[in-house]
Amino acid sequence: MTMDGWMGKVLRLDLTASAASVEDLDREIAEQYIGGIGLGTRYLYDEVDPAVDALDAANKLVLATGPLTGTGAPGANRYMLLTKSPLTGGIANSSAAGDFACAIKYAGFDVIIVEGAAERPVFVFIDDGRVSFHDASELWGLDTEQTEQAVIAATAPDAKVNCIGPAGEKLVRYACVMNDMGRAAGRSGVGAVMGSKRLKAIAVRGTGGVTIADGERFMDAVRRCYEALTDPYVEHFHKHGTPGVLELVNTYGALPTKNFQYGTNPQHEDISGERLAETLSVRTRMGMACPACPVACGRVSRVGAGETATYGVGPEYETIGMFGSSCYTNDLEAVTRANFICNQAGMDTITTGGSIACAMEMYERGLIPEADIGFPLPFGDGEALVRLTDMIARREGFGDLLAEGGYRMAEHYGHPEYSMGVKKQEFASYECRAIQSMALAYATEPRGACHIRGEAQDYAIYSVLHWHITKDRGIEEPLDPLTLDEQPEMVMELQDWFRIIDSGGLCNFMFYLGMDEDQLRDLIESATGIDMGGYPGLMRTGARIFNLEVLFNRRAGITAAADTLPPRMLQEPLPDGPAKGYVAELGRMLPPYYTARGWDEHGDLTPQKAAELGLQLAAGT
Amino acid sequence: MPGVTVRLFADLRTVFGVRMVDVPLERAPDIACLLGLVCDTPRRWQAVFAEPGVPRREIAVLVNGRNIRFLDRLETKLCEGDEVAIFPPVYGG
Amino acid sequence: MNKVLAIDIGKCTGCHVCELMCSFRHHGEFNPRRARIHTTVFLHDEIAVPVVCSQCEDAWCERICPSGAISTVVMPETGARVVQVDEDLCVGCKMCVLACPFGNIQVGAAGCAEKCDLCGGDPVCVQFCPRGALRFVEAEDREVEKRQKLAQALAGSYRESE
Repeated sequence: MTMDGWMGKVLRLDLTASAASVEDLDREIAEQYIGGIGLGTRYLYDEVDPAVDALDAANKLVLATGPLTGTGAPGANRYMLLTKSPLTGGIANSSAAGDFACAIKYAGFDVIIVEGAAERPVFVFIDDGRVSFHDASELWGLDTEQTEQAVIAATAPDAKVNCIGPAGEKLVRYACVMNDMGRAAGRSGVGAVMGSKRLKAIAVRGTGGVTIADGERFMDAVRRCYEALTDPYVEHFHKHGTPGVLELVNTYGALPTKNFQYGTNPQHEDISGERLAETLSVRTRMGMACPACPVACGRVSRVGAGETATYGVGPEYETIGMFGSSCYTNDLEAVTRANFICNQAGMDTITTGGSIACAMEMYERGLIPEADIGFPLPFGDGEALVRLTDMIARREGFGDLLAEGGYRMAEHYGHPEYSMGVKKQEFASYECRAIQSMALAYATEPRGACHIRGEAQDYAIYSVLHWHITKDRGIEEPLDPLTLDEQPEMVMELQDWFRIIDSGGLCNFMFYLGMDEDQLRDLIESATGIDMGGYPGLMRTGARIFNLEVLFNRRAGITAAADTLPPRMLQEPLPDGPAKGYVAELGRMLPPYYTARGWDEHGDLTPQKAAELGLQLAAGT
Repeated sequence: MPGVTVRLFADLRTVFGVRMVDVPLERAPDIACLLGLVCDTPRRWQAVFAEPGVPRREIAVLVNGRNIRFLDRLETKLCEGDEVAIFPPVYGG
Repeated sequence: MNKVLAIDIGKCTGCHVCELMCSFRHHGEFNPRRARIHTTVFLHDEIAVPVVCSQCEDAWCERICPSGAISTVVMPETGARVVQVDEDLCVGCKMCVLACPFGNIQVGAAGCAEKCDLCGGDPVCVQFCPRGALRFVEAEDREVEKRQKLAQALAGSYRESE
C-alpha cells in the first residue's frame, strides 16, 4: 500500500549479525502515534524490555522521523532518537534537525531500528535501499567533525551523517549524537547507547521524495504557516538566536547561578546574548539554516585569534546558562571553549555544565577533596571548567566519575542532594522556584528534567499566547510565573501538545514564533490523509504518547516517587531576585496534575483512562 | 543619584541608542510617567506602545523582575532604586 | 517588461526551501534532487549559493536540441523570457545537458529534459524564499540596484580616503 507523508517502511539494522531488513510501517500504529517521539516510543515500548541495562546489546536505538520531515513545511526537518537512557534508566528521547533527518525519508524510511551490538567498531551506509556495514576501527577516537568528514569521504559526497565522538565511545552517560556538522541530539545519553553498540556513524544517501495525500490543502496550509512566521520577531530571533533570552531570564530571577543557589547573576551582562553578538559571534546568517527553516537561529562563534583561532557552532542559551552562570565563570570565551569540546566529543552541554556546577559547589563545601580532582575547582574558574570538560569526554581522572553524571558523582560522595536535576538528569537553564510551572514540568517529564518537551516557560515569561492552551482559557497576557492557578492542567496540556510537534518532525521554535495547533493538524492531516479528530483528537494523541512514555518508565522501575525535585527547590527559599522567598510548590501542583492526567493517587494510569486513550493493547491490561 | 534605573535590551538598544538610563524619581513616579519620559521620539514610542496608554502586547516591562502586568500595570508606583527593564519579544532557549 | 529571477547570494541562508517547493510543484513530491534550482552551502566560507537557469538570450540547449523540443517564449503578463521544454517532443537525448555550461538542465526519471520554467510566471521558489534571496523582478531594476550598491560602496571608500 502506498502511503503519503510517511514513506511506509521501517529499516532494521542488526549490528550483531551485520544484517539489514525492511518491514512495512503498520499504518494503524502510524495513525495512532504519528511519527518521531510517538512512533519511536511505540517501537521502543513494544520491542525493548525496560528492565535491560541501557548499555547492554539488548537495548535498541530507534531513529524516528515524522510524516512532515523532509517536506517544505516550516521547520519540518527533525528526527528523534529513542532508547532506554543510561543516565536516567527510563525512556530517552533526543531530537535533532538537519539534512540527516530528511535523508532518512528520502532514502525511503520513516524509522530505523538499530539492535544488537557489533564486535568491532562499525559504521553503516544506507544508500537508498542498499545497506552496507563498514569497519570503523580507523574512525574510532575521531571527533564528530572529523568522523563526519571521513564517513562522507568513504561513502558519497552527498551522504548525510550522524555520529558519536569520543564521549559516546567511552560511554559517558550523557553523550549525544551529532549530525550535519554541529547539530546535536543532545540529551539523555543517546550517544552512549550508540557507543555501547560500537556504532560510530550512520550515513544516509536518499534520492527519493515525500509524497502528499492532498497537495492542494497541504500547500494552502504551508502558505498559512509561512505567513504566520513573517512578523518582526522572527527577524529578531534570526539575529539573536537563543542567547537573546538570557537577560530576560535573569531579570525574572530564573537564571541558575552557582548550581541553582541563586536565581540572579550580578554579572549577567558579561554572558548576555548581546555581549556574545558583540564579541565571539562571527556568523549569524549564511549557510546556517536547517532545511525549510525561515528563521535560521544558529550561529558560529570564534575563540582565540590568528592561527590558533577555533570556530564552531554555538553557544546556545542553555549552554551559556550552565557553563556561564551555573558554573559562574561569567566568561563567554570559557563557555564557548567548553561548548566546542562538547560538540567535538559528542556530549550534552546541559548535563556537562550541570554536573560540573554540582562538583564546584561540593568542592567549595569541602565535600570533594581537591586531591580527588587534582586541581582547585571553585565556582568561576573558567580554566578548570574547560579542563574538566575535556577530562569528562576522555573519562580521565575525576572526569571519569563526572562522566557518570552529576547525580551519581554526588551520590558517590554521599550527597546526592547537591545534584540539581530530576530522575538523575540535570535541570536545564531555568530556576524553577522562579517559574512555578517549570517545577511541575521538570518533575513530571518522563525523560527527566527537561525544558523542551513541554515548555512551561513559554506562557510565563516569553509571551507565547496564541495556543489553545491559553486562548481557550481566555488568557491574553503572560501568566504570572509565581502563581499556581491552572498550572497543573496547563502543564499537562503543554506536554501533550509538544508530543505532536515532536511526532510531526517539526521544530518547536516555529510554534512560539507563530504557528499553532490547528496549523500543525492541518499539515499532518493533509500530508497523510488521516483525520486526527479536531483539536481534542490531537490532544488525545499527545496524551497517548505521553502516557506510553510513562508506562515504559513504570516497567523500568521508575515510579511516581521519582516525580520530585531536589530538596533545595522544595525546601530552601530562593534567596534573591523577584522570586525571593519562594520554594517550588510541587506538593500543591502534583496531586491536581495526576487527577487531570486521569491517574490514581499513586501516579499510575487508571484502566479507564488507558482505554480512553486507546492504550489497552500497549499497556497489556 | 539613586532615582530609577531603566535598562533596555536587544533591539530596543538600537531604537533608544542606549542600554541604560537613570531617571530622577520625581519625574517618573509611576510606569506611565516613566515610559512617557523615555519614549520621547515617535520611533521609540512606537517600539513600546500600540496606542496611547496601551503598551504593545509583546513588550515586557518589568519592575525589579516583576512584569507590570502582575503589578498595577501602567499605574505601578516606582520607588528610589527601582530597576525597570524593557524587553522586546524574546523566545527560545 | 522583462522580469527575471534575481539572486542575492548575501541573503541566502541555505535552507533549501526553494528546492523543496520546486520539486513539489513540478513533480508532486518533496525531493530536492528533482528540483530545478539548487543551493550549494559552503559551510566554512559562510556562504550559500542558489543556482538556476538564467534563461539565456541565445540558449545553447535550445540551439543544440535535435528534436526541436526546446524553444524560447516571452510570457505576455510579465514579459519574462522562458527557455522551455516541450515534453511531447523531447526524446531524452541529453544533448542539452551536454551543451548547458551551467548544469541547469537535466534529464529526469521520466526521460525528459527538465529545467526551470519560472512556474509559468510566478516562481514558487520566490514565493517561499524566507529571506528575500530570490526575487522575481524587472531585469532593469535589478541592474539599477546593483549599480546603486556599487556607487554607494565607491562613495564610501571615497569618503574614507578624503
